[in-house]
Amino acid sequence: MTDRELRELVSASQEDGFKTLFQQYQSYVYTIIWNKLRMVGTAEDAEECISDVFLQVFLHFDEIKEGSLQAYIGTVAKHKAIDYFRKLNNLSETSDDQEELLNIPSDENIEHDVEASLANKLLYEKIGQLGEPDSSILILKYFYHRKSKDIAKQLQLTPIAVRVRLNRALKKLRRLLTNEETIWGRGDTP
Amino acid sequence: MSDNRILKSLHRTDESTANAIMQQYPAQWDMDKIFQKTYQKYLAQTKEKTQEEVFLENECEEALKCRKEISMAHRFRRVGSFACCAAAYIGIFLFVLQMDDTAPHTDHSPNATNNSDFNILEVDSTEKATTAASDEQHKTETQMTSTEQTDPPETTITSEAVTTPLESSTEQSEQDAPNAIETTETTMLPEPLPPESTEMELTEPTEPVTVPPPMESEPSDTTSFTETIPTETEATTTTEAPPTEQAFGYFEVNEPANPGEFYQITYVRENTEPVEEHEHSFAAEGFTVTEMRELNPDFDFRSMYYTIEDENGQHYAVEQMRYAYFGRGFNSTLNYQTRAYEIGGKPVLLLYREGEGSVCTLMWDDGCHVCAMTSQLKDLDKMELLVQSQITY
Repeated sequence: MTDRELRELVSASQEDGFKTLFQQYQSYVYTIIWNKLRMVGTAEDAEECISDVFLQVFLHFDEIKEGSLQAYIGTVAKHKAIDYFRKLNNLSETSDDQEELLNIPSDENIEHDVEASLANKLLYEKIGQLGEPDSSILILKYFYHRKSKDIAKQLQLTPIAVRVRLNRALKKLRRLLTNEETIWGRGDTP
Repeated sequence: MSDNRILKSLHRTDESTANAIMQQYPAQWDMDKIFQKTYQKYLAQTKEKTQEEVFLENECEEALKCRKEISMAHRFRRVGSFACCAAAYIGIFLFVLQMDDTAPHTDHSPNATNNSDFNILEVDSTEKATTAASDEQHKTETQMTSTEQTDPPETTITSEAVTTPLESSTEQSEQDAPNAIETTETTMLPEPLPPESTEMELTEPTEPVTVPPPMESEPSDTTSFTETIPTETEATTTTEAPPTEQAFGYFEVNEPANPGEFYQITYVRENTEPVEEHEHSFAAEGFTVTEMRELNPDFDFRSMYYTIEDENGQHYAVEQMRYAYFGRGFNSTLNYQTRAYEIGGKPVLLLYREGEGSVCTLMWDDGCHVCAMTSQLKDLDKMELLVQSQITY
């Protein structure tokens, strides 16, 4: 749906229009926010941040220029994510430049960072080889920080079955990783 | 390194891997709940903003109105107090006049008789009449003045207050005429005004409070989710192999209740008891079992897990599950497909995803259990061979 169509829908029915806007951009907003908050926050923090982003969009919807809705939403999402990141990290008010400095790796860690990146990619590939629903359970548990009961509800399993499958999937994953010469396999006993 | 340490690095992964993960495994969560919460906050903030604007607009009008009312009240108070004072003065003046009228006139005519007692009696009777008349006059006067006032409270002298002193005066008329006069004199004075209320009760205009209609809990708009999430998957529907014998069942793929949720694969079999009992084994020709163990032995959903290796060293993971506890799910947003066919006359279901390096799961009934084997799609022919050679009934 284009910006114009969204505006017309909001004019006709505010709730329907905003709901459509929410559904259209929620994945986009979530990606921005979760990329920032996954290391310091929980799923609930991300949901709270998303709610704040869309609240600001709703309140200033009439002021947004036509054609720049996505850019506006992206900017608001980025700034809200930074605000939550600082709040969760108990950082003092720092400028954007200082925050960028925190993220720039030093020369000493480049080799380690490249290795870690390759290892993460391999880990992700091996998780995919586990098949469903084990791979989904692992991703939901360790990437999205969901609880067993939420995973069970989503996958229509029981919580016990989720935990059992998780345990089994971890062992399977360890075997797969040990078969590969990975950084985890070297010198480590399974 | 422990499992948790391995996987804790998953959430600290680099951005490109994180994006890939989020694309392949999009987050599933209660968007409707979050939208409702956000929209309620929006409505509350909009209402507060509107009320502030209205309040600021009305504030000047309210202030003006208050000032007008206060000035009116002051004006009435002044008029009222003036009226009371005027009434008091008039009353006193009249009383003084009456006193002059009722004072005993000395009759210097030869026929006049100076009988003090008789005169006192006469004075009493006339006094009674005049005081009654003057009281009535005063009463009407005060009533007239009180009706002119709207605020503050009226000052009236009730008839009861007037009559009792008169009665007392009549009792003492023979003995204490001056005292009677004094008592009546005191009654003529208006009663002290009750303390006026200083507070002005300003009735605030009652604004009609418009309460927004309660938000109707609409059912989750699942259709719009389907619009946003590309429907890439078109899973084949159920495969209903007609159960010619009690031994056979069929695989069933159940669509999710809401878009974006998981499809569920179940195995439908009338008789959930095994056709024949045999020991757990998976020794098919050309394949080697490298691992075999029972999973969750204490639970009803216990199963056997095998790792099987073929001649080329390729590994296959096989799980044997009891009929009643078999179940598999797959994400509808991923590009999974299902295909039902037969191997050796037995119903088989293949769950797979196209593309290089993709995995697949082959499911079949071995007579005792439902088995599920997972490996790469390029090895499907070997998997089918294993299934065919493994089927025992």
